[in-house]
Parts: sequence; structure tokens; C-alpha cells
Amino acid sequence: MSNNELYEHKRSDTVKWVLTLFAFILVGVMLAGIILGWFDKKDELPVEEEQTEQAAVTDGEGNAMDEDIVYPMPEKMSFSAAAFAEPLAQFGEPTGTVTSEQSVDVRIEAYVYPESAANKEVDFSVTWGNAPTHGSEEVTNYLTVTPDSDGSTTATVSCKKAFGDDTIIITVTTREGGYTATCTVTFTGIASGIEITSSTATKKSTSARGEYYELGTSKTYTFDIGLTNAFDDAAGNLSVTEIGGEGNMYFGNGSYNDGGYINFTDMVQKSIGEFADEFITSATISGNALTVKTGSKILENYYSSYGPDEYFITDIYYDRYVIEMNDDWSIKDSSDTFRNQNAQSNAQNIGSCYFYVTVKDGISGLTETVRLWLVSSVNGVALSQTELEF
Amino acid sequence: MQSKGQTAAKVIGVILVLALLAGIVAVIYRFTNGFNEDFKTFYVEYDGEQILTTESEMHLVEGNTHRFGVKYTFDTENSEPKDYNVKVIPNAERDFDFTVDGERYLYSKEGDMTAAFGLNKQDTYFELVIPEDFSLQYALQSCYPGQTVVVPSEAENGNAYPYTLVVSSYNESVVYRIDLSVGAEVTGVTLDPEQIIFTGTQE
Repeated sequence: MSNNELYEHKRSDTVKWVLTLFAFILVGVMLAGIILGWFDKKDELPVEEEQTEQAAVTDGEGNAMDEDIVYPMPEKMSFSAAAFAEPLAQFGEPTGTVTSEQSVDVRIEAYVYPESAANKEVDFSVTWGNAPTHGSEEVTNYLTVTPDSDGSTTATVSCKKAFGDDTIIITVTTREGGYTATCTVTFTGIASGIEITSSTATKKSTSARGEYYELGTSKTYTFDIGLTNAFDDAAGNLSVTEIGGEGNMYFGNGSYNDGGYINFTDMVQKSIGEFADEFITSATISGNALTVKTGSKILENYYSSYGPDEYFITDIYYDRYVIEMNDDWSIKDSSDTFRNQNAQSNAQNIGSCYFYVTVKDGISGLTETVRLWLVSSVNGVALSQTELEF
Repeated sequence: MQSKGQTAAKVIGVILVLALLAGIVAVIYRFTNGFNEDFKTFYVEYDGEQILTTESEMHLVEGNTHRFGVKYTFDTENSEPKDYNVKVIPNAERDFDFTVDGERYLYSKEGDMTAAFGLNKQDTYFELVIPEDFSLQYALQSCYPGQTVVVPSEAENGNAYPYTLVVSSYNESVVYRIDLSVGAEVTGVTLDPEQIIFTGTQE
């Protein structure tokens, strides 16, 4: 093939490509025209009659509302703690914490007016309120609204985790007319559970006294007050509401005889709560810490005061906790038996006695009582012999 | 060896072919309801929207005239108008009895309720004229003029779409069933409750 023929061949190829391109464009334009023609057919439809002007939005009482304004509802409603009992039942555990797969759910309902509206379908949406501190995150990480079905007026609001002081706005929009209504969602951590624990006091349990903490005399103990809820985010306003004692024991005026044994007179049964403050001398709260100070006596050694008898022979211990008399008399009369019955009653019942401190959370109204029992603290040590010589 | 012009021409040509194919696929997709149904050679238009699914739902506002366009896909302006069929029949999701002059009838067995909808049929469109206060009572009464029709008050319950508009091509090769609800125009919405406070408490 000569150079001239080669040049002519190349020029022929160029012409073919241009013609092919032209053909494609032509076909494309034709098809586009056909397609557009199909879709433009709807424009040929006769214009529908002008619809009657939409009535103003009305609230539940029929008051006029502007469709461009988001209105508050006629009546406010908040969910009490009780309202969450059923939704939280799904957690299984009474004090369960919401996990990533769980939520606290509340049902909401939109009412489309009028009641006889043909199209009651609505859409729900969720947005952050003004200046949210969690605004950098998707609001749906915290709260979602799921309609029962597409367009349904009922939906489930699911709170997945606490969102502090932020506000979330749920908006419902009617598919016909575009009318809107809103629901404001806030979070206020309120405790659903309260627990008092201590790492410094010894926790014990008996069938008679139940769970209690054993405290030494003349000491200070710290307890932690835990407030819990489903989100593990609860504020509290804690205070000590009561220091008391549970159990009725015999007390009397005791005096020691020559043999060193104690005799009782004027024995009466009293509630140990009457002088609980001599065993639990103070209970104060700072933040979530409860500080308890104990008195110097245990119940078994309790007396309110003492002084000499009228003959100045021996001391009388007033309101002394009655213990069994072990005198050296060879003959015991009926009064001895009676007195020892009281001592035996004390011995039998002391195992079920306890002192207590009750704490209340002023926000949730929850209270919790911790049971306490005093035992003698170690106050010294001695060896049988202080000096050995081999 | 190809010149730069030849290469560009080829690229443009390929792009055009692909665009063309995409356009054809899009059209087929639309007229087959996402490749789920047969290609529609006949369709209905309402309020500027093409109805191309054989079964759909629609809300009609009472006190208005509702106009539906009917189109044959491959017809042009010069084509001879083809006929079509239109009627309204009961759609009893929850059936009920009603009486006509004391005689009991089953709603689902009611044949044609078109008379209640004031059908105005034209070559390329038809209209349904819905009066104010349209109801099942009105609809059934329209089917039995001059007779006493009694519809139970609970008839509306469970029947969100009590009627079905049936539109078919002249040879009934394409049939559209549009379930209808009839009611008033929406004038507002409220939400209950207005405020929710999540506390995390459970009792």
C-alpha cells in the first residue's frame, strides 16, 4: 500500500467514525424525544378544578391555627415514674440498665383533624432542640420514633440513652396539607432504685436480723448511697430521715451485790428505738456518702446513768439492760425466776434487734434503710506475761 | 494507529450508547413497576401522578370532583381514542350486613357501586364526584334509590378503604385496582402527649 493509499484509508476511517457518532446522536435524540413525549402526556390532562381553600388548622377545641406555625398541644402531659413500669418490664431485671439493644419506650399518637379526614397518614421526624450539647451526634442515637406502619398515626418513642439537659423535638406532619404538631422530649434522671453499701463496715446476715452491718463502738463508718435507673443516670437529693431501733427489750435499775452479781428492780420493756441515738450518735450525708458515728456502749452493756443508792452502799445503774442474775444464793425464790425470765427474754430476742438509719432521695421519693448492730471495738491488747526469763 | 479524534469519538459513542440503554431500562423499569409486573400499555393518571401499579390505595376528599386521566402508552395525539372500563366495587376488609327494605345483604356481595360516585366518563379521562358527607350509608343508598337502606354504625370500623376503583383497558389486558377511602380534607394535627420526660425510673 502506497503512502497515498494509506492516507486515503485513514481519512475514510475518520469519516466513518464521524458518521457513526452522528448516527448515535440522532438515535439518542429521537429516543429522548419519545421518552419525553411519554412523560409529557400528563400535561395534556385537563386541569383539575381548583380545590377549595384549606381551612385553618384547628386544635382539639376547634381553635384556629396557622399551618405554618408549630403549636404546643392544648394540654401538657408528662410521664410519671409509674408510666415506665410496663415498658421497663422488657428488661427482665428489676433494676436493669438500658443496653445498646434496649430502650425505654413510650407510645404517642397523632390526631388528624377532622375526625372524618380521608387521609390520616402522617410522618414522624426527630430533631435536636436548640443548642444541644450532644448535637454532634445523630439524634437517633438517643431517641427514635417508629410508626406502627407506614403513615400510621401511632408510634413508639424509644429513648436509647440519657441525653442530659438537651431537648429533642418530635414532629408529626400530615401527608395531606403538611400540618405539623410537636412533642418536646426531655430527660431527667430520676432514680428507680437506691442502695446503701459500705466497704468499711462488715456486712452480715442472720435469719433473725436479716442483712445488717456490724459496727464497732466509738467509730466512724462511711456508706455509699447508690442511685440507679434504667439509664444509669440519676440525680439525687439525699437526706437522713430517721435513726431508730427495732426490738423491745427489758431494762431495769441494776445494782451489784457484795458478791459482784447484779440485781434488778423496776424492770420494764422498752423499744430500743427510744435511745437509738446513744448507739448511732450521728448519721450525716455529703453527696452520695453517708457517715455514721457509733456510741461507746453496746446494747448488752447499756444504762442511761448511774449513781449511789440511798445508803451510799452501792451504785445503781438506771435503765440497765437486763441480764441474767447469777447470784450466790442457795435458795432461789419466785421473784428470782421472774427476773431471770426477763433476762432470758432479752437473751432470746437480742438476735433480732437492730438499729437503723433511713435515707431518702428527695427527687424520686425513694427511701432505703440500712440495719446496724454494735459490737465492742477492740480497745487494747495484753499478754499474760509482760516479761519472760529463761 | 488511531488519532486522538478517533479515540474521543469512540468514547463519546460508547457513552451515548450506554446512556441510551440506561434510558430504555429506566422506561421499562417505570412501566413494569420495578420489573415486577408486565409492561403497561395502559395507565391512569391522578393529580399529575402516573398510576402504574396494578394495586394501590388512594384517599378521596369529599365535596370534590376527582379527575383521572387514562392513557395508552403507545398512543399519539393522532391515535384513535381507545375505550376503557371504569367502575367502583366494594372492598370489604371486614364484611358486614346491611338491609334494603328489611332484606339483609352482604356488603362484599354488592356488585357495582359506581352510581354513588357520580361517574363522568370521557374519552381520555373520567371524574368521580364525591358529595359532602359521603359515607357508606350514602353510597349504598345511592345503589338502591327509593328504598330504605340501613347500614350498621360499626360498618366503617375496620374498613379503612371500603371501595375499590377498577380501571381496565379496552380489552381488559391491563387492570388497575385502586382501593379508595373517602373523607374530609385534613385541617390539622395534634400530638399526644405534647411533652415526654424520660426519667429512667421504673416504678
